[in-house]
Amino acid sequence: MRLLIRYHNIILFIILEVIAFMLLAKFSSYQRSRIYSMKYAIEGSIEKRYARVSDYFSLAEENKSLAEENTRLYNSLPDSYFNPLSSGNTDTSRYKRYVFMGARVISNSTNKQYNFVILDKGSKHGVEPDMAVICDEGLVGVIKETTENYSSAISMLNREFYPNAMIKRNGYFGYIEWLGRHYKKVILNEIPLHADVRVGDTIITSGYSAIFPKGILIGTVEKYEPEEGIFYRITVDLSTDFKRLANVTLVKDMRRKEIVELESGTEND
Amino acid sequence: MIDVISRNIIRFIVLLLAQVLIFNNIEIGGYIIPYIYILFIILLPFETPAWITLFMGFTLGLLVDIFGETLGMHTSATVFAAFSRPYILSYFAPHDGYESGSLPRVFYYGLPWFIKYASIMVLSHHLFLFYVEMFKFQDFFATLLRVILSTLFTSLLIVLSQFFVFRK
Repeated sequence: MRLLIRYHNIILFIILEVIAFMLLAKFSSYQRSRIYSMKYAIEGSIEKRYARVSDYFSLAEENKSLAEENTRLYNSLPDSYFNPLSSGNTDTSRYKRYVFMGARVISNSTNKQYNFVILDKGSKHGVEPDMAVICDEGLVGVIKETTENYSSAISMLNREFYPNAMIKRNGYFGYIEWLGRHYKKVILNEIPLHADVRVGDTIITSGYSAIFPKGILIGTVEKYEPEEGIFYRITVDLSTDFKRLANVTLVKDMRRKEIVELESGTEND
Repeated sequence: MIDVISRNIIRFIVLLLAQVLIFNNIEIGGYIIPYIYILFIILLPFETPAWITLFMGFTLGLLVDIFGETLGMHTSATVFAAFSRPYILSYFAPHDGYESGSLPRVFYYGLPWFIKYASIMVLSHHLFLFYVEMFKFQDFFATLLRVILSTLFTSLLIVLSQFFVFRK
């Protein structure tokens, strides 16, 4: 008991630190988004009260309708269908591979090491984990968790996100890595030294995973240097400006389950 | 006494709002992010009991976390800074101790003292914060660079604030 009194500050310090680390580690991004919903409510009310320029509201509305139109156009794109002619079946809905859905960014960060984007569409709207998130400018990330009304996506600016990518001009592929520094720069790894790389080359998603469709823009080659071994280390200038992300499109791969089954099957062998 | 409490409450609110509304949006070169809210802990009166300092640090950090969506990060760092404050204060104490009724400010103990005291406080906070953010010691030196640059920038803002905003 005397020890308790004597060291009460140290004990209190340890208790508070344990609570803090529990907050840090124990909450999934799902639980977090619920805690943060308090923040959204406060921010929302501040915004409403102090928005002096009412035009901005119609601007947001306009953006939304444009995003919806984009979604509709994406959905009717021939690329989002399998080739129905090859099988002789003309019911196109059965051969649709990618389904697109518009969403708005509620919160986003660029100055952390593990950045997430919170979106205003959730499981109620059909959002599922591992759906791709893209925007007009390029790749954004991948859905990690969903709640009824919201979902959180791992941003490209997250040190645990390694999407597959390829050089559009010649098809060499590798993976993208963010080093946690600049919000416009990522590294493309594993491009072999014999590949022909040029400054300005377009980098796109490779489509070698069941998450991202092939051909989503990632960025352009800014510089490249040979690394130890047999690979280039390519600095890519991201096409997506994460500092002004507002409207995004979610992509669902209807054949994802089949592909994942195949992939896990080959791994087991 | 009441005056001291109300002043500190106002300072708490002002610094919290300044942090979440203004400074959280500042990012220079990917390395420098000023976390000036720690000034609240720095300016608490000398006589503040350690447990109050700890609880204030916890509350302040938690609120910054909720607004910055970094649950736990700022809480743990601010609690750490609050915990180290008595030790830092006693390290920089003048020979005959701190006079009762004085405050940890430039006005009472001079600019060099304040710079030393404030920058060590900021360093303890930032060091903890940036390594907790990484959660591992990978990229040790890159993180250290972020700590040092951010510490310099935050300290500069804090010292300047002593002349322009929180003069009394």
